[in-house]
Amino acid sequence: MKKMKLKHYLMIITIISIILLYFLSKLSQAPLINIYEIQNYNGKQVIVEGIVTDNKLTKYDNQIITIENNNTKISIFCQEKTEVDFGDKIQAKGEVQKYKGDWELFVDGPSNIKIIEKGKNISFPLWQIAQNPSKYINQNISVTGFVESISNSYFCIVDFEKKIFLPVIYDLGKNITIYPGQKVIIFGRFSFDEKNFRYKIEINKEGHYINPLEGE
Amino acid sequence: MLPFLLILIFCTLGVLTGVITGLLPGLHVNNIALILLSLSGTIISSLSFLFDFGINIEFILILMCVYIISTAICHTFIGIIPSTFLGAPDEDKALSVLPAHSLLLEGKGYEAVSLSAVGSYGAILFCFALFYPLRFIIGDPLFFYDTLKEILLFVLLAVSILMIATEKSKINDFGRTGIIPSIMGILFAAIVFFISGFFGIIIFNVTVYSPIGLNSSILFPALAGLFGTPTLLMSLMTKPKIPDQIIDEPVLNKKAKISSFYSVATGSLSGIFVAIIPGITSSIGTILSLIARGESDKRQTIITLSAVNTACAFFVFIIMFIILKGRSGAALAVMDLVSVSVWKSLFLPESLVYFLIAILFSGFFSFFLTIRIGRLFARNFRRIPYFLLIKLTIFLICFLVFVFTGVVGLVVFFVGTLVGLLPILWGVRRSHCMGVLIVPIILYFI
Repeated sequence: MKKMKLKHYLMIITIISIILLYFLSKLSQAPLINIYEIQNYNGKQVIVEGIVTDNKLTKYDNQIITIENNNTKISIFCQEKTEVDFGDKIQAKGEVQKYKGDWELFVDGPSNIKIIEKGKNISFPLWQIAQNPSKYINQNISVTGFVESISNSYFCIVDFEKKIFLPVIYDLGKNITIYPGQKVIIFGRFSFDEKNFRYKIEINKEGHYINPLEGE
Repeated sequence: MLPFLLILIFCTLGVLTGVITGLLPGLHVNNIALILLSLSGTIISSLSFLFDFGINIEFILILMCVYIISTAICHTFIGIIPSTFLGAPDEDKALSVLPAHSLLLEGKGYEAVSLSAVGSYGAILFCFALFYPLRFIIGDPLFFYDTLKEILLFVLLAVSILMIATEKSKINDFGRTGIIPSIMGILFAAIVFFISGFFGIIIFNVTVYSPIGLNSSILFPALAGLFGTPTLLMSLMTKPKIPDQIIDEPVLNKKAKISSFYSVATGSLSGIFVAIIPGITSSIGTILSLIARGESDKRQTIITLSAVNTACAFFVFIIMFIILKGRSGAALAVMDLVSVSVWKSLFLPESLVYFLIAILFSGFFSFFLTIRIGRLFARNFRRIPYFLLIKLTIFLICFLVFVFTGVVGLVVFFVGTLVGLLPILWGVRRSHCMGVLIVPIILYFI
């Protein structure tokens, strides 16, 4: 009977302790800080928030994300690949540290990166697509690039450094005026061209478009 | 010749450390790895005299890894001794307490230790025979891990349901007739699983700092509380009468030898599975292998679960080179010390060759040490200051928790201990406490 009482008491005490721990966890949570304050938190756990402006994978499948908020930027080093895209508004929790002279946030895993808002009407830069093309395959996407090599049925868009090329296959029926070097936003279907062994984007459906960026 | 000699020296040191961590329940090899990682700079500078003999920093880091790996392997061998003689296992050996302790009560504690050593060493040989072909199955070209990753949520859900549904304990508090005690057993297993899960969700939002600036991990106080201290506290509370021990080498007939082979094989395969999947520990692997094995003989159970533990400890270091993931604290420490790249070619990566030497040597050495120390315990365990040892261990764990995670860590440790005591007092399996990792992982995938 004595043992029974002990185990009943234990159950109640455990549940109360967990509830108390829950409130303690709320108090001891990492603070949400502005990116420009980061140097004051060296070696501490913090949460930062911002819009993804760069997003790269290393050869070890670590992800380096750059976020921007109030015109300040910070790199986030995440040990694993995340679902974060260019233009997403994210919150990342990790340890502040210095890497090669620059401040960065070291994040343990994808669970510490929350996507607060998916980037809406975002046009991806070419490098973002090139990071993980299979993620966008057979989807309608919007991509930004510079026009190059125009022919009757297709042209190419390239990135600023002309390292990444993407053929744009377009319907001759569409009235499109473009010229080499022009910066454009293309909305079309991204797919893999098995015949030519390359990725392509097709402008062939209602709603697909090519928009020149004015003033660029 | 000198590099090889150094590997053997660090292996031996690792094995001796593994003896200490294995004998002191609650002091886990992950703690040693964490301490070593914090002290890596100091260790390199104190070994700098080796530079004069052509040994570079990279090789010193390899030696530190060899030390951690040997400790991890030896820990899985020696852990059976406190499980058997003190009834105080760590989490990995928790399920072995019943069969090993019941052999002890028959005066056959030494036999339990010997059978465990056979299971562990069998797992080393089994895994060594399999690691090369398995690399092609898990990684390139078959990419089994990628497939597994896609269905990981369902695997974890299935394992959780299986773990709870196979709870065999009966709780008589709410009725003693019919199936009510069995249903209550399953219900309490689920309660422990979900309480642990909720505990896990909370702790991952808690930030801890070491008061002396060491690397902090919230998992250390949580797991030490869930799996380390509760059994130590229970050992202090219970004083079983134990007969004099028979010190005879176990003799296995042909049928028992075949059965033992199957136990090693199923245990090792479960251990490999555990090493691949995140959030699943040896205890869960043991449940899976015992279900697969369908064996209720306590000797075979001891062999099976020892094989699970050692195979898991072996394979986390192989998995590291295939999927670049550290599935244990020791593996994460190794990945922090040396640069690990994906094993793509037909040839073994150089560092893996050193690690395999460490595993084989420490396995061989640990096998004989386990038998020796087991015999010593069987002869002299009445003279061991048992309660003093347990009190010292509890104090040491509290001290380490404070040093690594501060006051907040101590609070997490205290709540973890309360949660860890639940399955013991209610008589359900302790592995349900693994909800602490499984529930947050499942929620992440949802």
